[in-house]
Amino acid sequence: MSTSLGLIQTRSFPVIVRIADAMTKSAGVTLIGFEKTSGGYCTAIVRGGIADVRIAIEEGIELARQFDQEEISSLVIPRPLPNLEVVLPISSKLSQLAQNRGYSRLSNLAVGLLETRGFPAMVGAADVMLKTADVQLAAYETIGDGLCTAIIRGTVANVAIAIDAGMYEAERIGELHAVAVIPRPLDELEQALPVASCFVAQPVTLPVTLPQVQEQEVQRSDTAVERIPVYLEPPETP
Amino acid sequence: MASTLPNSMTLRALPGQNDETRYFVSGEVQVEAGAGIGAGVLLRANPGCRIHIGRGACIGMGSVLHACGGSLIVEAGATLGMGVLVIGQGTIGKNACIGSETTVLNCSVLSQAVIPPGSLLGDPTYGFDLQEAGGSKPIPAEPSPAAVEMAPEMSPEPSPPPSSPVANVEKQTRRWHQEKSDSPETKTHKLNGIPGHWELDRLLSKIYPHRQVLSSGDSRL
Repeated sequence: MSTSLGLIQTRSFPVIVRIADAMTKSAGVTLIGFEKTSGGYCTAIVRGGIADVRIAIEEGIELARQFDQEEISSLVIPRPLPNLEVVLPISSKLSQLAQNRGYSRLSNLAVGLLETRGFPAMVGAADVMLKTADVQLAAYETIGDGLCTAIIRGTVANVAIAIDAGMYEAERIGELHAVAVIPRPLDELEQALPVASCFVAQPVTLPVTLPQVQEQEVQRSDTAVERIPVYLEPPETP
Repeated sequence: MASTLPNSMTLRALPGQNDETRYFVSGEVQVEAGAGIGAGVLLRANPGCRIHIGRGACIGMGSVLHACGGSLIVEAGATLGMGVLVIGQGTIGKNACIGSETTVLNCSVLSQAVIPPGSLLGDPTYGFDLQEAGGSKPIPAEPSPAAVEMAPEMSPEPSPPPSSPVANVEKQTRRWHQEKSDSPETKTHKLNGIPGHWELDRLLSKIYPHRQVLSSGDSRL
């Protein structure tokens, strides 16, 4: 049972994602998600055995210091009470819900994050990144305090070059705040990251318990629409 | 001409070679299209003075051109080597070639002249008080032996005695340069402090091992 809880907070989205990546790779913890309170504060939430959580949080703090983050705050709770789990978004149920949202067509690719203070700089940087290398803009994230993060996906070489180019463009337009490249994110990190709806392939769901004859429209992936009659009750004989 | 140079004189890495990606301009400075200006060049015109860089002129990396007491004109096709210091007023003539690490103090250079590297041209006792009376006084383009002898004292790392006017001017220039680098115009310095930048650089140097030689993230314009 993964009972212990670990939290770590910094003031940058790329930095917290990079820290979460390092934490999930350093010990057997599960990343629950990122809690973005406004003002630029982001918290990564991990669950796991107490030893794993302690290792992961220590690793995270060390990395945050390397990134010159001044305002790090962290917490380890060995055994949070059930009431805490019900109210606060710290239970793994949330991430299970997130898993059901569909299959992202951008999985198994490196992640690049570029954070600017101000929206125009982020848009300009994202434009340059897309034009520089073969990458996809997966989503963007705002965390308050004017900080916006563009999230790109692609192979690691493309992502690295794109971030490098985007950095200078962001600095030209406005203020660059942080960058991060994650060559191979774990699945749970991918699920915690936002993905724009256009990249999510929703699974086709068929209703099975219908009282009467109904024609069901089935949308195939090749955009051909055909009508399939579904008979759930035998037609009455006169 | 090169034989007159001491053997110890080599081209040093100039300050600004690695850090700055562009040249700096202050005051009334006109750069015509087609002029090539190296990285870290400082073009500064005092109030009431101007600098004009002609078409096709080439100014080497880390050079400093400071106009005071009149106009400083670099005519078309003139070439200034790396780390040349030009202070005062005057004209660098058409297609003149000034060797690297030369100092030109308040004087003109004739067109088609060739100045060997490390020379000192103009009055070494030059100061801000003299320039009002002096005006432009073209001297022969070929430096006198005395001037060439002075050159090593000017160029290598041990700076000239602090009392000399050259040292004062250099100090002023440097101080101004430091002030300038605090301004938001030189944002490229700050890139190195961005969280994740160092990590990205390391990653890039692993992916593209030969890239570091070309840029190391600094030499873009």
